[in-house]
Amino acid sequence: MFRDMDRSFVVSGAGHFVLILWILFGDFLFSPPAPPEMAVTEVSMVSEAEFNAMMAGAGEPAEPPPSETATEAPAVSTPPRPRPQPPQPEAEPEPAPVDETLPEEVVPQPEDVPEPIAPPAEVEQPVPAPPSSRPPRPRPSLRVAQTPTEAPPEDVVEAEEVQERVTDAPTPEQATETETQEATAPPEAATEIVTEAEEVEEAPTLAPTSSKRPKSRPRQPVRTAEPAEEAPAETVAEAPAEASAETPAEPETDTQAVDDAVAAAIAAEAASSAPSESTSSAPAGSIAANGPPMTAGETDALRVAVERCWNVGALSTEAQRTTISVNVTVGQDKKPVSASITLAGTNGSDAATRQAFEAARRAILRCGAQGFPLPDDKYETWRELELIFDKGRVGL
Amino acid sequence: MSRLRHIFTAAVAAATIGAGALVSTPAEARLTITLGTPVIEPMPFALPTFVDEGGAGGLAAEISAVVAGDLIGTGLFEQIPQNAYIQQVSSFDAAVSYPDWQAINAQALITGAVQAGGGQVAVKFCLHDVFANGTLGECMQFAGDQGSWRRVAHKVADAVYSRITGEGGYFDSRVVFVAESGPKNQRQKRLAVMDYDGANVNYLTDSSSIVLAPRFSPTGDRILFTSYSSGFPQIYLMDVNSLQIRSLGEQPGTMTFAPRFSPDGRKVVFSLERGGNSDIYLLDIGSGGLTQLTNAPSIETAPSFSPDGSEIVFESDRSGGQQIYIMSASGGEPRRISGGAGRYGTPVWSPRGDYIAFTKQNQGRFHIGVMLTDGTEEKLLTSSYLDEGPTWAPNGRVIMFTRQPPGEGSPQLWTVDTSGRVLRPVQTETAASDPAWSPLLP
Repeated sequence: MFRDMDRSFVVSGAGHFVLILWILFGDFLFSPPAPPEMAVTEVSMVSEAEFNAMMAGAGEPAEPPPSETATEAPAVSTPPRPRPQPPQPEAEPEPAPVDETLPEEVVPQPEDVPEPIAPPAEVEQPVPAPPSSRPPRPRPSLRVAQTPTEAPPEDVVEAEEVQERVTDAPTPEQATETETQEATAPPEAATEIVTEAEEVEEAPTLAPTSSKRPKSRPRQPVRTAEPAEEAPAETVAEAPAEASAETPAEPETDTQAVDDAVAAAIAAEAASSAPSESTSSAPAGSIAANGPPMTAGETDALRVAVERCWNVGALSTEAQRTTISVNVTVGQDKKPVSASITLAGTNGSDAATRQAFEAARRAILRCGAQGFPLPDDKYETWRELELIFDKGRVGL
Repeated sequence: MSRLRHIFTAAVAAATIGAGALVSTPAEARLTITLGTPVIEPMPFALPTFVDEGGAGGLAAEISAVVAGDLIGTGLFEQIPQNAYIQQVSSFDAAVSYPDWQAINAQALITGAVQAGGGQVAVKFCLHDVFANGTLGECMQFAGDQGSWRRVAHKVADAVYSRITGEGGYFDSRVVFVAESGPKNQRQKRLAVMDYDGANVNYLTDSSSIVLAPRFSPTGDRILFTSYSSGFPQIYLMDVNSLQIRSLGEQPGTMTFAPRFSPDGRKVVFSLERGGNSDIYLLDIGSGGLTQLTNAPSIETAPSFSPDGSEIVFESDRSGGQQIYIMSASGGEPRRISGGAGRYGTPVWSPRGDYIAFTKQNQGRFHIGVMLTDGTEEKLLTSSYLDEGPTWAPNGRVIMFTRQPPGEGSPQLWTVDTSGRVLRPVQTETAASDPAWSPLLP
């Protein structure tokens, strides 16, 4: 019973609650459309005489009838842009003077908009003909549009954010990069052989100009026997120079000492090949057991310094192909000790080894005469050097 | 007991290894650097005018100039001007101040002295390695007739060249060639012989008949050549000393051409044309015996022996185009070694046996080139309107050939080394073609 009464009360309460909400917010949520506004037109009072005068003026128009173009003129409210005044036709009647009796409240008449025509063509000034036989290019003819062109678009909208201008000039960062590039060694001489045939032949040919077969290069210098004694040259009437015995003893002693050193080096190489193998097969600058290691830049500087004086241009083909390793002791003044230059290994014949070794020795002594570019604090590292002269197979 | 023996053996082995490690320590302590990019440029040398030690007069300066010219002409050396010398060499026996020569970057120094008298001239010289502060080899002396002073100078240059480069010399040699004169449509040709540098020209024949393709014998005392004196090409043999001429391999109805000596000088290989077909034949000079080496319906010509006499290289168009083939010296099936585009001809085996020089025509240009004897590593050394007829210097590192300019130009002799870097004309009195280098003179 009470449950039925509660249900009634709840239903009734909900209904009243919805009704109250409707009353309170219904007008705002479901307000009826606003009634149309009343059209109000402003009028002014005129007298009869004024009305007659107006009607009389309407029968004789003071202006010529507006042309078709004029009817399509832009809105009157738009202020006319300044433009050159076109010539007015002479027969055009003057506009009727405004009656001073008219009240000031008279609605202003639209101003006469001149016919939009192109400005008159400028008179061409005679120009001297170019010194060319080419016919002059025809100028585009002037055309008057039947209809006024549309107004040009507005200027480009400026961006809110300023963007950097793109130029070819290097940026400061780029300039900095250029400055930080490493300097390379100055070109000394050609390292490649260019023959006349290669220089002249410009047209590509389908046929190979050479059929090179790569030859396997030795991995490491190979021991050789002691260089043979120099054979006496054939002569017309050959005899040892008397002066040879009279020449200063120092040069001969020096040469003999070098030859002895070469022979001793070869013999030592033959006696123990393992050390040479370990050194010659190692990467450049990788072995430095007695001191702090050399950096790649330091070893490169030394390598380039010797290569600048390593001239093989006068060597025989076989000597150029011979790979030799040379031991040298460098003094604290960074200059090579001449007597310490010895042959440590070779893969060529005796004669070729001799030529190659002499060229290597010249390179060491020439470019070491003023001292090698070596770090002062790593003397123990670079005091004993093994230089491997490996030109490879370049040229014939 | 056996266990003790094994322990002892192991101990000995360990000690041996340890000793080896000690031995190898000094080498491992070396800083190892590999150099791979040398420079290739002429070696600067200094050559003060040889000292006149009596009777030489201006000959000392002339000999010095010839020696310097020989070395410079190779392209491998460049002479430092004498006005740059710090030390003035006034005596051959004076001590050499090496620092003075090092200061002007002279890598080699040649000092010498000349003595003349009694129709003889003697030249002594020393080659110095400036930066090694010593001589390269022993000082030497050459002597000869005063009239052959150029040969003496060439000998000096050969010794210097050989000592520095490791290659044999070629300055004391001669070249036989065809001297040409007259307009192009009435060209007169004579055999002539000269020093390798164009000096001392001597004419061997007159211009009564056309002569072609002279070739020196291995000893340099005889010359083979082709002459049209009979109206047809025919090979002849000339004795250089007596200038006596006799025909070789003459057979009725045939034409013979392109002769060349065997390495022993006792045989001649040449082309013989019979019935419109040419093949290669071998002639024994002593017995007159003739052996046909090829038998093909194509043109086989320009044969050249290998230095050991075991093989012959020649040109043939048996494959349709002109190519280079090698066959045994006794004949047999040849093998083709040229394989590139164009036509190959006039192959000549190097006196060292390593390369074959040839003429190549391709795309309207002529080239002098070299290749290994198996046809690989072909390298074109020149390129011109017309280059042809290579001949090897005695050291096998320089080639002389004929260069014909277009138009009315006259042919000229040029030299090029096997690297292709040094290309130079040979100065001759007249237009010249068809050179053939002699061996080194004794």
